[in-house]
Amino acid sequence: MYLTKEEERILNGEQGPLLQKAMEIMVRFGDAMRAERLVPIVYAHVSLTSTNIRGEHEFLKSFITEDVKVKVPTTCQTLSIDRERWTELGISEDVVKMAMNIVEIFRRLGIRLTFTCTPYYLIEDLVKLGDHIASCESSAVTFFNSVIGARTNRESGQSGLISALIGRTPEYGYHLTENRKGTVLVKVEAKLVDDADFSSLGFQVGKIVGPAVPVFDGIKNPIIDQLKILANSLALMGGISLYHVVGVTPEAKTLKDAFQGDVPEDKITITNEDIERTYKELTTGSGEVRTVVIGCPHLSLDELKRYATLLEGKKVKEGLKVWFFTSAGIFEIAKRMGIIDKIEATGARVYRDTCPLLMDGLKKKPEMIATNAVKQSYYGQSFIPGTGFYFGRTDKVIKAAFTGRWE
Amino acid sequence: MRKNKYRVIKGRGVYPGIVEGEAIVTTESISFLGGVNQKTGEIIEFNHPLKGENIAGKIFMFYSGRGSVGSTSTIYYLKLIRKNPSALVMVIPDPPVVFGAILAEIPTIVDVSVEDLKSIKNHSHVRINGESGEIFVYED
Repeated sequence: MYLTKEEERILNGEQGPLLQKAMEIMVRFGDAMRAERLVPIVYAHVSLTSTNIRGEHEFLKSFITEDVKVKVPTTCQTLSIDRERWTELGISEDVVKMAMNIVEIFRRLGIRLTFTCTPYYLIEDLVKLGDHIASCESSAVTFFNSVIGARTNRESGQSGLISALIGRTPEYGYHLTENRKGTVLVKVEAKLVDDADFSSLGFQVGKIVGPAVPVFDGIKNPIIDQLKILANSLALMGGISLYHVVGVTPEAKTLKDAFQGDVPEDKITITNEDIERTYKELTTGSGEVRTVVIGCPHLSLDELKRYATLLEGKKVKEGLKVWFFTSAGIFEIAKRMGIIDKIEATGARVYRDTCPLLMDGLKKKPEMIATNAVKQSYYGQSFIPGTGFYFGRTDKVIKAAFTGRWE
Repeated sequence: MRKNKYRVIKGRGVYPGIVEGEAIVTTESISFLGGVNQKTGEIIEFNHPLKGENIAGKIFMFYSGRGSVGSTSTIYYLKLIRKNPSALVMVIPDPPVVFGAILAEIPTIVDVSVEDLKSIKNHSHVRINGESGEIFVYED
């Protein structure tokens, strides 16, 4: 691999042994992936924040042996705790201690303590079309590649952090224009009326096409939050890191652009029946609802505002847990705007920094969970034994919050 | 002692080191996170043809990684508790697996052909060179 003078100096240890080691690893990795060079990145999003994936915390503790700072603006992924409301979520003190240790390591590294899977809501226009970045979190990877048109591979926590430390990443995969070409044409005949329909669409397409670059034709005027939801379910089911929507996403002004002038390798059609099928496939509960989960991926300010309007003036059913999830950054603004109070006046709660899938407390006893987010239902079923899930459109999920029933 | 009779297969070495021992071989892909027991190195992936085999201390030969980027963490953790495969050989270099192997300093070869992989019997005795990319397969 070709290295610049500065990269060679880092490799020779001029910026200390930790960065030397980081550069050695990246050069080996770049060679392994047949990258010709490293590309400078403008931004990184790093995971390694979970307390329950073995090998994450251990890596942080053993790798970060000196006082170093990330070289580019860097955000970080969801934590296993809400720092202020962990007791009501049934999280143990041990987990809190470990999580706070991670927070401290990240603070010393100079990482922005965002703790969210939707960092793009917090970084304004830091990342633009064509920018090279290094992102962890599969749904964020797909969002950055597809909706913003930035270029990132699917980074592991470890490769994301090392990229942030050296400010570079090997140029392979989605950093190269030829790999960003659409491969499968997806004709959308289904009418997408609700946010959850975008979840279902991604779920079915991901399942059919696998790790391809799908090009959607027929999605009309989606909002940015819906493109986020689509990114999440495509990444979940298909391992998809990039998609295009004709006339919507930046690298797909036309169908021809999306395929870079080539013909699709394959074509599929998605109908209303396909969308409906997902709701059946991912519903395993039977009538009673005890918990409602909304905010996967973490909610935007606009989404919180819309939910506040949907809930306004009503009361959630007594004893029912109705949980919303967002980042601390969005929470703070929403709080100032009175949106959080409006939601919580109904008896619902809004949590920061965390996610039910990362919370140990929830795994202790089976639940009956209603959600409009496909990832909660799909992963939850394997993570939380004995738990029943209802996956449905937003109006149905909100109705369950008031009645405690899925009907 | 083994007989001297062997054949040589070529791949591309991506982490150096010479390792000799028993090979665990499959032409299927594997998901390290969730598919391999993080405490023992046993393959636990549902319906995997090698389910029940253990890769700790073995030369693990497979098609590619599948699924989550969490493979990096699993490989790194297996190394920490000394339950890691002694070497990795694969057809398609899956980035999180390769990255994990480099972090954990496990000799690794990629770009082996499917035909060559198919020709190696499970539990064969092999020697790999992670620098030159050579795999010596001893035939009994």
